[in-house]
Amino acid sequence: MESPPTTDPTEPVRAALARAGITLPPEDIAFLTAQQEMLARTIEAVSKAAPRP
Amino acid sequence: MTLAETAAAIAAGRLDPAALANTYLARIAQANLRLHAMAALAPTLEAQAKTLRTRIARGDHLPLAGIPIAVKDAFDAAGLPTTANASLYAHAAPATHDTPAVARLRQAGAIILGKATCWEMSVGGPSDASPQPPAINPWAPGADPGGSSNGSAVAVASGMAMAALGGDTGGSIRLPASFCGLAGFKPTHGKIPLQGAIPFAESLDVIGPLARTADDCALLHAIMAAEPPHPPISLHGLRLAIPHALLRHSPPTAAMAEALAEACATLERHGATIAEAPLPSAALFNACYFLIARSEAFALWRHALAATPDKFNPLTRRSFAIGAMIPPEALANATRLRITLQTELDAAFAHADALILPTTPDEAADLDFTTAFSRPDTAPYTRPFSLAGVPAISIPCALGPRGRPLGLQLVGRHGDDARLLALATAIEQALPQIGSPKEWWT
Repeated sequence: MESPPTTDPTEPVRAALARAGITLPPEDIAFLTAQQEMLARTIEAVSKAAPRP
Repeated sequence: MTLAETAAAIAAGRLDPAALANTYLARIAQANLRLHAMAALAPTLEAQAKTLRTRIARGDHLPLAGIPIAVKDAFDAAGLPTTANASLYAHAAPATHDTPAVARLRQAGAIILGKATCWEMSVGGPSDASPQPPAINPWAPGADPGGSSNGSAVAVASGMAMAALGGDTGGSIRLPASFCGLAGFKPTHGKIPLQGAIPFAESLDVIGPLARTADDCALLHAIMAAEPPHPPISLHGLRLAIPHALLRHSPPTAAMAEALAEACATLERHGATIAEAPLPSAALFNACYFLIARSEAFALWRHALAATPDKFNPLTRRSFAIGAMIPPEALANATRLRITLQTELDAAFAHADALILPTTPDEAADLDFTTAFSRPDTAPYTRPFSLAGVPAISIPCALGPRGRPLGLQLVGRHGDDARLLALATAIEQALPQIGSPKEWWT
């Protein structure tokens, strides 16, 4: 039986940092991963309120 | 004595500038081991005093004659390295020039005592993993002096300097001023040039004074911004407005709310009126600030973060790195929203001379490095006005339940700095004095 695909919650953080050529310690990655939900809410709130270009 | 009175005494020859500077050096020697405010002392104090005596004899106009001033260690002062309390700059050579604010203070006769410590790179928070030890609030052993310009505030509050320069991106002058019982002024963005300053987020960064009173801040600002001070303002007929929506979004403690109410009642007795400032988008100011500040900081420091991540403490590193996760379209949205919020804030001044609100939700907490990443937010009332780029000042208004200062923030219209400082001086004179901290560090 095939096991369901697993997703690594740190992946978006690692990818964003990799694009900038940045490598950080695992504790930093864990911290930034924990901030993703807050950041997504913030981006969404600002996006909804911002006037259209 | 006020700064103006002290400078007048020196200019008139009643007080010797070297003797005054030595008095402050002695206080630094006595207090800095416990309070960690000063990061470096200028090796040129005697030479500065000698130059000043020559200028006094020549009849130069010296409104700050002999005033000993500390400079936040994020700004260049010739002859001293600028380190921003960061390993990245641990081996920086002494600056060859002054940042314009420092140059203007020297031109007015000030004596630059040395550099005051700060949060590493002016960001993150207090840390025991930066090159300089964290500054301690003189109001209580172990109390947080706030940040990022904490050395500047601690130096003035403990009598190590008569005044200091700080930097403010989201509250970094007003918060330590509030926690340490001082006046701290954030000018309109762009009023004072930033060359020779280590930046955090350039569309938000400003340089401003911390001193014992708003009146002292007004004198320093007039010199640094090269604009004349505003004539005195009467409280009678003054229109103040509270942005209640901002306070509902991040409620102050009961003690802070009571201090605001008492201050407002006092001002009403002096003839001021207090109304509500409409700010319908209050909840968005801090979100918009966050995206802009973190994006700008990341753009500035990404290469250093990539090349030498170990040169930053974890708080700083993570504060900068979060900007990597903000997409460009989110910054574009925040930039457009910022203009809308600035317009909304402008409208709040239609029927008010100034906004009045707490500087922080609470008095200073204890320094606790184990909760560095989960501390309560101290800046929900200061960041909105950084985002808008308008002038704002914190003045002391009361002591909290733990005997630590509570600050009142006054906010003015864009560019109306001198008037706000005159208004703050009038308000400060009407409010009860909180006194000075007991000298437990001697």
